Amino acid sequence: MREFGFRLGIFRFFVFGALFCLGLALFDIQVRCGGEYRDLANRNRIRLLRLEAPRGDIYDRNGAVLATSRPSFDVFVIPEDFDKKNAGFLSEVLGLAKEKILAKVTRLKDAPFVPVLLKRDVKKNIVFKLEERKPELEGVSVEIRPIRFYPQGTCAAHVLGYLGKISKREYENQPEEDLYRFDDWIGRSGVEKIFERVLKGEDGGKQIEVNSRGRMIRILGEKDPEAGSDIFLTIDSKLQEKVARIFGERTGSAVILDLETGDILALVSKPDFDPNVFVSPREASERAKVFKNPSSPLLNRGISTGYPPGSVFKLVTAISALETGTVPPAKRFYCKGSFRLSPRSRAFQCWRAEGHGAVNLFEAIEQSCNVYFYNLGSRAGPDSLSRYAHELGLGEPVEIELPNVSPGVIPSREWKKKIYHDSWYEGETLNFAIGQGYVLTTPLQILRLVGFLATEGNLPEIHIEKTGKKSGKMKKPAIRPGNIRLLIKAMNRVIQTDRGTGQLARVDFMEMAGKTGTAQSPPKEPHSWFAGFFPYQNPKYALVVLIEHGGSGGFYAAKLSKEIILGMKELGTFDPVPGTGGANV
Amino acid sequence: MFSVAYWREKVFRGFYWPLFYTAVMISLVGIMAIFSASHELPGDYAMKQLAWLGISVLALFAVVRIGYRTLLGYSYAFYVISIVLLLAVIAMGDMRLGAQRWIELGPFVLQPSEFAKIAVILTLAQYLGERARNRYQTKRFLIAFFLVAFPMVFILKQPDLGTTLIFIPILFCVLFLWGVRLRYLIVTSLCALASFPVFWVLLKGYQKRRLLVFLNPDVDPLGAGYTAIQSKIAVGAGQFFGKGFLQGTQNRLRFLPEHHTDFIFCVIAEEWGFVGGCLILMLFALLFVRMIRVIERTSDTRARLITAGVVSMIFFQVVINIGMTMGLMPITGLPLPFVSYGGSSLVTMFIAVGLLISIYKDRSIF
Repeated sequence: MREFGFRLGIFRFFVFGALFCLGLALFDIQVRCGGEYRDLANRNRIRLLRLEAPRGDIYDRNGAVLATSRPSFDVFVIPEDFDKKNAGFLSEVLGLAKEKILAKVTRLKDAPFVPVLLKRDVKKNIVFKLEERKPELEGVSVEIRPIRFYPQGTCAAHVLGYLGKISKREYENQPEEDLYRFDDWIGRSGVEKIFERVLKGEDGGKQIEVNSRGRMIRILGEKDPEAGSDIFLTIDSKLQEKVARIFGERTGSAVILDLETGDILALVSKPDFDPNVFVSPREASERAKVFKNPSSPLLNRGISTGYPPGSVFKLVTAISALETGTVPPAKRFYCKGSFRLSPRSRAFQCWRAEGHGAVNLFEAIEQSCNVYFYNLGSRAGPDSLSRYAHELGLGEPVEIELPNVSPGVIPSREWKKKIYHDSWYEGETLNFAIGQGYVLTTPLQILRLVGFLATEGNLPEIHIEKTGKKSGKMKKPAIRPGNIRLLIKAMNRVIQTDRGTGQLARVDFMEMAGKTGTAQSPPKEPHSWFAGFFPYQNPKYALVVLIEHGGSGGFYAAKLSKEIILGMKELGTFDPVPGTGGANV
Repeated sequence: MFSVAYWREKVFRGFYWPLFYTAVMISLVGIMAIFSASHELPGDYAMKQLAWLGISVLALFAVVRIGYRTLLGYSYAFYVISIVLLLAVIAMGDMRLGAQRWIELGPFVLQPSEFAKIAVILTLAQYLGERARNRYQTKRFLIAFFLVAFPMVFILKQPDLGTTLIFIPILFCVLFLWGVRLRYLIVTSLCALASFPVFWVLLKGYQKRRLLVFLNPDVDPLGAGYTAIQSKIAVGAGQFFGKGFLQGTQNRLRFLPEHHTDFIFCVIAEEWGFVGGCLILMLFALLFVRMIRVIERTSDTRARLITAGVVSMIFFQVVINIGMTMGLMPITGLPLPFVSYGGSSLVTMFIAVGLLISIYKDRSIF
């Protein structure tokens, strides 16, 4: 018990001793040095200046600038120092309503010493007008701040994305304290969004003391901003620009993949937009146009939206028949132009009304015979179609450094039960087998599918960011290489024979392999697909072209693909490079 | 249950009024300061705090009625519940000020870390109080250590560095008054110092910044360093008599963030000067005098340990909070007990006082 009394004594001494020390410290600050602090508080002319960290630039694979920052002249007012009789002059020069200016500077509730932004990105002659009157315009200042700039305009806009003002919600829920200011910019889509944290850097700041005229007397503290890091893309902006030009005013997407590195060399989505209009206040009307455009130019059609793949899906149907061994490749089915499940059920049409006659796998792919694939599909069944579609990456989002990657839709019995509360009908299997009905895929997924076939399953991971590191391999689909080889032989015939549906894509300097698709989308024109890889013997590139409501795939998409491949040749893509012996981009 | 006689018998007989009055008085001073700090803000913080004071007083009466012995009996249950609540906060907690510390229940916002403090104190008292100190000390010490460390992990995860750290002095004081061998405390302190680099790595960026700012405010002149400088200016500017009620400019002009919660002492010091600051310190001193008297009046070890835990909890929060406003402590975001705006904190403090009054009353039965 004595021990407890002793310890309690120490405890008590500690508690009251500490309180006494706090009292002493309080005396020191308030009484001994109080005058000094009172002084500081009275003329609390301590200003905070944010030193904005420059946002990282974005380059293409060859170092061409795709996104950078340019200086913008921003007009600020410090409410406490501003003389309201100058509001008239400011309103005239800046073209803002006088009431609006007054409203901005009289929000005294917010810190009155924090500069309020009046107008961003004003023209140089306005800056000169303000500088001339500087002595009278107390509290008004022009600051040069960086503003995002995309020197190539619409080039790769969907990959780059665009910036927007941070919303109240994002500001309040920011991941790290003080990372964003309430009027900061934040990446809204594309690379700008995915690499937001890396590109942004960290703002610095200066705490300064100013005199009554707003001039700085001394710096109380300073922290340098940390610039954002630059990002390099796998995109080749010259090729990108060329493909975009060839694509012209059509709606749709074209994507080119380097099969050796997994680099996306070009990703075109049309219609496109100029990301510059989102950052400059002068472009408000252009911005409104982009938002109101019914064909949604902001949508990245290459990755964010699914389309029925049409006959391109027959590749999957063929794989599932070969893998499950339901149909040997040499077996022929007779196409008389239509197909019935039973004598009394409705007729499913082939695209060629007079029929293809007796066709085996090679001829069926070459001529894209629907009836052959109706037979295959109904024998393989929806479960194995669905299984091999997933195995080949359909219905699974492509992992790439871009936001809003759509997984598309690969139906199954369970899926239909869940979504439609209905059981699966056999007729739906027929539609499934030719890539119609519920199936939806993005162009990038089709590109990956073609990539899997071209590399016999050894496809590198797909990238849009160029890191310099060698990228890993994608998970290899569980499909026998022999079956893939059969299939690409057939795909070669699609282009190189005179009965092939993709013959319009044929070029004279190399052999290719591919598949066309014409996906019905009533009441409008069908979607036009072409997907292929080249050179056939030693595949280096894969290409997908989708023209929304573009008509026949064999005609329009294949023709467009040929133009794109010729464009690649013009840029020297297929020229042998001394020493490497391979192609170069 | 609603008759006057019932209350007189069950609650107010042997009630320790001086301790109760002191706590209420500090709270009322706090409400005045909250009013001054927030009367220009929307939200009616002073009225809300007054309502919370009402709820707190009722909670105190309830605790006294139930009695600390009964509550000790449920201490392990409270412990488990508070762990579950802490996990719930992490799972569904609201993101505010970059931290998840709240659970919203209709109009109420619960801060489980506050209640966890009481639960931990009760559990420690129950565990250590029932066991003799002359045998198996290492085992006792280790179990006590882990009982406290477990909830700390979750609170640190919220992240709430201030509240996490407050558990350490509570553990030390309770162990010290329980009679643990001093070498355990010394060895633990040395281990803690040695493990600091590991701990540092686990801290979030802004937490590191706040600690660095304490050493050198220039590190982060816009964020934590700015607050440190401005808060010191506010306290100093109060001088001897202060600027007068509602006259604080530091506070009005919003140089200080969170001035009705964590930085409430700045408002008091600026408006009521050294006189006001000393008044608060003296009221706290009076509170501790009365609380320590409770320790002396009881011979129940568990009761003593509860009191030790409660005193150390309030004491360290006071020292850290006031020290922080004067630049003597790093900015960690701990409320000033009874004074800062916040329902969970106030209710917790009154529950703690209720426990002590119950101990005091219990003694008077003999």
